[in-house]
Amino acid sequence: MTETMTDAWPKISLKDVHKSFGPKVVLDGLDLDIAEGRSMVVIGGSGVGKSVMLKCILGLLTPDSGSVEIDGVSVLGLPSGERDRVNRKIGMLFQGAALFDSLPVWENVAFRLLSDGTGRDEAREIAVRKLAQVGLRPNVGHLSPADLSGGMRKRVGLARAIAGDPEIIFFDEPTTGLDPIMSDVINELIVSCVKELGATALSITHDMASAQKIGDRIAMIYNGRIIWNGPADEVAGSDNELVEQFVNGRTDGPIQMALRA
Amino acid sequence: MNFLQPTGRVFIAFLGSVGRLTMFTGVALSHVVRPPWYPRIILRQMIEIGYFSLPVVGLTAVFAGMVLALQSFTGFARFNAEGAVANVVVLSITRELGPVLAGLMVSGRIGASMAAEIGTMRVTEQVDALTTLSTNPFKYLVVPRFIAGVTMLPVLVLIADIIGVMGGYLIGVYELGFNAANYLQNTWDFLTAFDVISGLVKAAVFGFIITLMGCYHGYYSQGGAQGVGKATTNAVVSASILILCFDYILTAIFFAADG
Repeated sequence: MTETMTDAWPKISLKDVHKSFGPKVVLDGLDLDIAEGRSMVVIGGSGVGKSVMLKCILGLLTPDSGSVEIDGVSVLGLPSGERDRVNRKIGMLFQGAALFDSLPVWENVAFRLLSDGTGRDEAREIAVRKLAQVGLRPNVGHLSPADLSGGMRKRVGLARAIAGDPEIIFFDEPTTGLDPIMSDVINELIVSCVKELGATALSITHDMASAQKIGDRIAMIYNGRIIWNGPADEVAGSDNELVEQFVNGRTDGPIQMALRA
Repeated sequence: MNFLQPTGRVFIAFLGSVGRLTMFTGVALSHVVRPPWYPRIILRQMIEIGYFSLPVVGLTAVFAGMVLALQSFTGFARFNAEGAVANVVVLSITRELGPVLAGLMVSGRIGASMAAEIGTMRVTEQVDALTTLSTNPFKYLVVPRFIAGVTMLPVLVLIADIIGVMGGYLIGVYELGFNAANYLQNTWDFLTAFDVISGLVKAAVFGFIITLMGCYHGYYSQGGAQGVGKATTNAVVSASILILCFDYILTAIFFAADG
């Protein structure tokens, strides 16, 4: 089943996006709309183009063709100053948290505030507040990222993503590498932070438990296209055999050939 | 005719690398003159390059000066020109050995560390994180290192010049039996401002080369830990070769200007 979102104005809109690396086609006419204030989760196997899609929206990669719009404005080919203004609306939690090793935790969280000229004392206070929001004590702020466990790094990454009160938050594989309990803690934090900010969220994952917990809607990407898009609670009962195979984690099915390739 | 294919592939790859390096240099230099600047990071890099490189550069300079005094004495003694030892030491150190040895030592210490740090940031998505936090990676990572390299290498070389001459003095006076006052007088009389300035100009160019190679190879590193290791090696090797190439080019220019 393929369905288009029409229940609200799309905050993020991708139309016919193509991206190739040499002969390898990664995105092949991808269309996706994400309504304002909703949480969309994109699922799909490894190497199907989820991260490339995210990097195209963030401006880290430029699509070969197609359009990427945020708030109805095309963000492709923007001059760096305007792109920075767009990025100020965005918070991003990277797969490995991508914390800056050379800075203490609180400066990581307050990085954008410090860059924007906020005083160090005020920025530190905000960082401590954001750390508390993700369940970390103030003394964690003085640690180096190298001293943190995987779960703590994800929490700090989440605190950094929400520090600027963004309108849009991206989550790249938020639970990868975490134990089931910590995964659930991170999922709950994501849900509460997104709701509290009223932000639009786009997550990419192949963790179905995480997808169903944090997403209002789920879309599945396969062969560079969105092949299913619907409410999160309908994904388990989908009659699309690709979705059904992926959700149930079966090795036999139409995705078999792609796995061998 | 099959040999043409790999030759052509290597040549095209080389041209591609030169083009990419030229673009990288142009973009980085364009950010040097445009705000915002990051004074805290510039200061941190200046301390890293200038202060923490001082022991290794100082040790290199003192031994270079000592060896130079011994070797030139051995050579000059063959035609009774031992008195020129002080002159040769100061000229060699300020015009040539100070900047080149400091450049090579800093290339090993700083160029490698820059490539490793930026390369690790690249493969762990920290460079991408900078972009998503509305911070230009060139301004935050490359420009402070450029500024610190170009300003601190001349300072290091100036100190290396003094230490190197003192190394020659120690051997000249305590090993070869020169009169201390005469040795210093010979050194001072023979030295011209042009000797020192040409060495400092070389140092500034070498500082640019070291930071450019470190940042460039780190910025484009890929492939995890192995890629970072490769970037580090490439940064040191390319910086060392370029330092020696530009040393000749600059010496030829100064030779023409001095002559």
